[in-house]
Amino acid sequence: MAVLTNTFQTTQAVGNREELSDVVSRITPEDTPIYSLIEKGKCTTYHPEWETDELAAPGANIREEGEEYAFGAITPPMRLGNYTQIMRKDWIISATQEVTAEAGNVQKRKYQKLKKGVEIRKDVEFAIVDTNATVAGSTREFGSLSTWTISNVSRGAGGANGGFNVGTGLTVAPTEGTQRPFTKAILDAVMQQGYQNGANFRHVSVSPYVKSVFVTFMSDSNVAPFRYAVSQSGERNTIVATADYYEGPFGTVMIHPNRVQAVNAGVARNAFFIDSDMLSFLWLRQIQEDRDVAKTGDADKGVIIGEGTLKVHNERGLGVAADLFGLSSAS
Amino acid sequence: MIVRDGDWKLFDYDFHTGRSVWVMDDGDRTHWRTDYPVENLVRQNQFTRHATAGNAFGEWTKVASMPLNLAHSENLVRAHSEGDDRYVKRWLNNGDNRAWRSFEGHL
Repeated sequence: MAVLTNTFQTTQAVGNREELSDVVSRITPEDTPIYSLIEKGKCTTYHPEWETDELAAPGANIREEGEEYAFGAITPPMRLGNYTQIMRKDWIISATQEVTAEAGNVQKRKYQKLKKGVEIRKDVEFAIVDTNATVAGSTREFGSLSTWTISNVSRGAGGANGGFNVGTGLTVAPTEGTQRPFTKAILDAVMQQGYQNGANFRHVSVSPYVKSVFVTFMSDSNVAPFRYAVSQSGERNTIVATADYYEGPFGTVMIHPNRVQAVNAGVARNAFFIDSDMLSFLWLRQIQEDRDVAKTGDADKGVIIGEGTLKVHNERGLGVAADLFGLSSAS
Repeated sequence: MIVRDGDWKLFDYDFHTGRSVWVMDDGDRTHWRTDYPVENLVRQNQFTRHATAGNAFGEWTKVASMPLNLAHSENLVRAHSEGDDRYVKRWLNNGDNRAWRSFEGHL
């Protein structure tokens, strides 16, 4: 059908809202490996809750002929929850700068918005990989991945699991142990625990340094040892910036270098093993621009804000190799 | 300072790997471009393929190494997450993608 003359279409409109969160999710997904991997959903309260139920461990089941029945107690499902965290990015540009830098204030503002949108997404990734426990209240915080994981773990001497506390409804931060180098034994230990607990680890997210250690596992006694060609001076190191596929004893695993995990030693010390079916990110308020910021003074102000939380469907589907030297061979 | 390449504006640059992300706005849409220096990676993969030629699969065998943005744009990350191993293996076994393979064995 023809469109009547002068019909005002969305393609002509300049002020239509765009789904900022969709836009920033599509841009460079490799910047935020874990957030990009997992499913995104919605929640309707600042404290979404869910349940996990599990089968009893297999055991001998032998009964006597003519035996009277006895009934075991039912274990109720475990009620889990996490709190949403409010994340915000803002900017203010003087009106003079707005016109000085380039023509078209809209473009300038749009550029800032995208940049802050990508930055806030990296903050989401940071909140997933840090070691902060859940905090309730008005300055809420969601429990990070490492605070949930207790089943498939390898920790340094003195390290202890955190985990979800059913009594308080909050996660507890793990206790840091003595740092040690990442080894194949640690990798295999976590992979095996995961396999036994029903996890299907497909992705491993590590700091770029840990990824460079991972590469050395190839020089196994089963294969002919070899050395990598040392890059010539001035050439770029590509090992740490690639997605690597490994055929391992527990299936194919993809290793992601996570630059967000290189921000500090605290987040670099953990290597995360992920079954992406067991994790999702729920948005209460998707990343969006607050368009109602009052204009005061001779400047343009902008705010991008989002509120969401991490949903760990079942921590048995996740693993962590903690207390690794994550930035260098000694830190 | 804004670094330009024609209509493209530099959005992000990683000094360690040389990866650069560019943005261009044509009025209607925002376009994104990721440049990734791959010469070293292709050479490294070739070196590793030769060094491991004739080996059996070991305990942990790196079979491929590719730029992250390619893994995402070719839907390999998604297929791998969803357990579509046939898609991933078909892609990796395809001779056109040999540059990213670091082990010759058929998957």
